[in-house]
Amino acid sequence: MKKIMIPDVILCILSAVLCLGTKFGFHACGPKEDGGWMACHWAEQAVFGLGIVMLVLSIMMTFLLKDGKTKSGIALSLAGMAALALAVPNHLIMLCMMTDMRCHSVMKPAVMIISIFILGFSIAAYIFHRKEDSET
Amino acid sequence: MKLANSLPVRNLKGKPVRTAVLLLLTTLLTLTVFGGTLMIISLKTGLHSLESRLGADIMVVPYEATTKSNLETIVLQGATGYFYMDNEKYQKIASCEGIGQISAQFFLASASSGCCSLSVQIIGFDPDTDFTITPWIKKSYAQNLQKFDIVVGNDLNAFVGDTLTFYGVDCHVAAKLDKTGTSFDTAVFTNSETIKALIQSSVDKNMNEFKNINPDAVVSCVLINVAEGYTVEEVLNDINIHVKKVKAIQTKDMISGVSDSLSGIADIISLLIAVVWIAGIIILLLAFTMSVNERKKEFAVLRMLGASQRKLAAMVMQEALLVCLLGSLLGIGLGLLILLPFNQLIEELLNLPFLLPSAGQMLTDTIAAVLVSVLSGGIAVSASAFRISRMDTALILRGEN
Repeated sequence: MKKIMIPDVILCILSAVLCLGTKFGFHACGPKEDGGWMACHWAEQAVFGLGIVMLVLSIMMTFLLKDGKTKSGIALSLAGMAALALAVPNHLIMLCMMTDMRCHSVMKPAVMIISIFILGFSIAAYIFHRKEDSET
Repeated sequence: MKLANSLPVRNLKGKPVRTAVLLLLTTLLTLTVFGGTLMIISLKTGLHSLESRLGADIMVVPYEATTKSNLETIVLQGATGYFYMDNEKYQKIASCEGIGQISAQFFLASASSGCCSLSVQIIGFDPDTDFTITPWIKKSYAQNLQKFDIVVGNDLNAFVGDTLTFYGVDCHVAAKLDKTGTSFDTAVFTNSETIKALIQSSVDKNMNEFKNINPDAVVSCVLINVAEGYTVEEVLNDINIHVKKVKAIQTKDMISGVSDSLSGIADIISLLIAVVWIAGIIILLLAFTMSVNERKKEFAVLRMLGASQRKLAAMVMQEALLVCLLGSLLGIGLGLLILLPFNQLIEELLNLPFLLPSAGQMLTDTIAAVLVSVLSGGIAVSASAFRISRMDTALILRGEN
């Protein structure tokens, strides 16, 4: 029977939270009065896109794949993507003018915390799968 | 390595569920104490920051401005809003008796700009007479501001060298201020020459609430420091009696509302910390007592193998202290992870000055929280450790105790 690792399951949950939360929970500022979007909207979109890829990869790693080497590779890529998600708000894509706006006070810290956790659990998953691979 | 293989650590590893529950409990307790204390310190630091920037004894505003619900936050904390009075009022106030220092300020709220949907408060001051904003700006920018130079608050996502456009006028960011924990962090400061040009531009573009005003003939508010030999009340009453259509307000009175709210919140948080902590110690006491009762036979066997009563008591104490230490570190980590990134959101929700303390103060708070947590664990387990040290092995093994 396929053994499901706790860090893998946590990565699935965190990726889902990042993906859905960016759109529905800790989203960036709303549209302007003229209907246009502010800069932070594109940061939200980028994090959402990264979140979808992370969710698909973590589901594959947890439930579909069996090879330890492949899983450890996916865990490493998840770590890289988490670092990228961490850098998106206000570094790779600038947020709004005032830091008391929603994108700064809600979206940026939430994305930061979830990305840090994903980074940590990806490294843990990498170590577990490397160990799993060397044992088989 | 010695610690990892020691009996207390192996006991903790051997009962992962019990250890996890105790760890969760101590984590939550430390989180409450550390987070609550940091909140109280941050609120007090924010109030201190606001007080230190008051700098004037009396503030005079046009009488109509007193009807604005957010007057205090406009003049004291840099919230958006503006009003004007004739320059001749300033001259009349200046001629009153007991005036030590006097300076005028000019307010203007920017229109929503392309990058953000909120407007920014622009505060203008006269560099020749100002005694409230200049000392604060000098800490970040020692030179004199030139025309169209601006200094931005810490929470504005603009940096030295950037250009910000207000009402079609390009302004150059000369400096960025330190964080204050108030709305000043999202305000823009400039000299009277620049703000007059901005006011004129807003009037020209028909975007100013006050139509047809002459920027050279108006001021928004007048700040006064009382001369020696006079009391604030004397000067305040003199202005209110002799200068029409203005209102002189003692700045200390204006801040009292903020101070009262802060005091109320600090009291509630302190009470919450005390209740959670007392409840936590009682729960820990019960948890350790139950755990020791469960393990009586284990202790009796250890006694038969030669462990002294003192050693058993020390072992239980070490287990509790290890759990409390680890739990307190997790609680502090969690507290920092919530408070540091979300401090802006907390400030908005509380609607009070909120300024995180310095790294040194935070380190002191961290050490104190760890000590309090470990000490509480020690107190909670001491009764159980004492009972073990008085335990009769024979009775336990016979099942009579």
